[in-house]
Amino acid sequence: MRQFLLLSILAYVLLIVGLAALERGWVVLALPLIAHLVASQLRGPDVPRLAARRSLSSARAPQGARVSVQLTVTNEGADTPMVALRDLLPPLAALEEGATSVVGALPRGASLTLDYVVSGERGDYVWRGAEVTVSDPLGIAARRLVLPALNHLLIVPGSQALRHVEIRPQRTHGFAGPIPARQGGPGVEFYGVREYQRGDPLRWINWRASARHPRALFTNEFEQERTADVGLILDGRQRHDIRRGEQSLLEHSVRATAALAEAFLNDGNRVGLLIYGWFLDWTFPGYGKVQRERILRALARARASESVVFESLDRLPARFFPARSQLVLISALCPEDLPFLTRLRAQGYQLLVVSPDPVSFEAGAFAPSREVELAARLARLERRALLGTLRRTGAVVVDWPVDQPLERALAQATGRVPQLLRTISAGGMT
Amino acid sequence: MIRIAQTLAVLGLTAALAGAFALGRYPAEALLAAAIGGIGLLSSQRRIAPPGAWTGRLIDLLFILSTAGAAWGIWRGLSPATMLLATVLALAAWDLAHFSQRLESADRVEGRASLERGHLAQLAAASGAGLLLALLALYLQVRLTLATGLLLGLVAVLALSRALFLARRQGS
Repeated sequence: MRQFLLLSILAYVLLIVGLAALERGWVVLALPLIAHLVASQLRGPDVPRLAARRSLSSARAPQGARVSVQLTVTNEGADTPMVALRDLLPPLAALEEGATSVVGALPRGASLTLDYVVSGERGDYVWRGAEVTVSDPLGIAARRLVLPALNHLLIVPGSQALRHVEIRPQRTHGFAGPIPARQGGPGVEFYGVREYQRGDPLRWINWRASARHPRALFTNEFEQERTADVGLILDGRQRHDIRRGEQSLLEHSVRATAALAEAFLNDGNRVGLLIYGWFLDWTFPGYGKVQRERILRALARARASESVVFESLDRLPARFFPARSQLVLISALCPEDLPFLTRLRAQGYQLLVVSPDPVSFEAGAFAPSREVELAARLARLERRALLGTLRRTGAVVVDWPVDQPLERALAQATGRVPQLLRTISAGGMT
Repeated sequence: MIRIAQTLAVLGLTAALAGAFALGRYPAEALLAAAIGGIGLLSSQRRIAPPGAWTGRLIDLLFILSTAGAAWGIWRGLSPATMLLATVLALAAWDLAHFSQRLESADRVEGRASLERGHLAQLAAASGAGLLLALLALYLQVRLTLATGLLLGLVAVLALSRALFLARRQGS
């Protein structure tokens, strides 16, 4: 278009000035330019009839995976001497290999194809269309249009597999699972002794207790193991998303949430997810692989955001979660969150708090110095006091330095490690 | 192929403009024409910068300067045929520069040889027709009546409005 305009202006300037100055030579100079313009218009591009079709090797991929994209534009109209095709990549998608633009002739019925490979960080990527510029053979008259070709690619967060996360909610479901149900019955762990009832297996009879009472038989009882409701709450408030160069604390929280969701779902629990940030992104509780997919999709879209309404946790609607169920909060935590978490405990929820350690994460961004060390020490003391207060409410708190595996931090906080060892590993005894 | 043609066009343009000014004893203009030709030559050899927005503007500027130089030569009484030739060569160099820029801006070019051949053929036809028309206009004298002149003026206005309409349509 710029070329067309430039030629037109030059030709008209020469014509008008030549006529005004009665200089025939200048008018003559305009003639080749006009001939060029006329030639471009004679074979100028008509309204092109093009169809675009894009296919992705996968509509869902884990973080770091490479996805192949193929875009084909077919000419369903008249011959087009020159077509420039450019695929409009989503802003954050990274091109790994291949070409995203091509120039060529496109006769009737022929196609131009682009093959390339992209990768990207966690998120929802949308291809809306492909840009096509059709021009005359001289390239003076051009027509640019965007052909619609909508595609979605969801890059879900990668997560490390967790074997089993120990939780003990007060209320369980009727289905067999791994969570101790505080009820006697069939199970593995010893729960108590009761009088023998007809039908009890002989191997359950407690022979020692029965020997002390000659006229009675006693049977061992085991703790029933059931499934439960687990509500995951991911704290997406901007204030907790500390950045260290390209790294973000929220990314660690998202991966931890994905890993926890997978572990709880693998154990047969009913799991729901609430992302608390710009708005309440609620994934209704469910079971199995479908629910895992729903949760991963929600996590793929999770972004740190600032909202006046959701500045504090007070707006978190506890009624989303069944009463006395297990809640798992993934948050860096701040002192203002403490009253709300205490209230949750008072309402009967079992609370597991997985807290990625923001102090060690942020301290890593600074060059080591006395001042940084002192500041980090003060922040650690403050955090330790906060976590200590939270533990005293009965919540299980996992203080997770993000450069360590989550599984180890979970095992230390929730596993059946003697309290003394746990205290020593947490650095509580000096 | 395109680069050779572009280089030849720039060399021809420089020789025509600078030679005509030098023969007409206008050394300053001759030097300026040689400088414009030198920059055009460097640009055609990709020695200034890779293709981008400002190289496109540089190509446009060189074309405008060359055409203005040819007009200035006619004003100073130099041979109109030589100035016409310089303008046609400037137009060809400008066109080829933009064409190669379009090709290089794409990651891949399909059927490069046939595209280049087709473009060169079109360019040769358009430039040849333009040159022939201009030479005819230069050496044939036609007396026009006032009415014919007014009619031609009307045609020019209509063509201008058509050009603006097309430009706006392409822009949208």
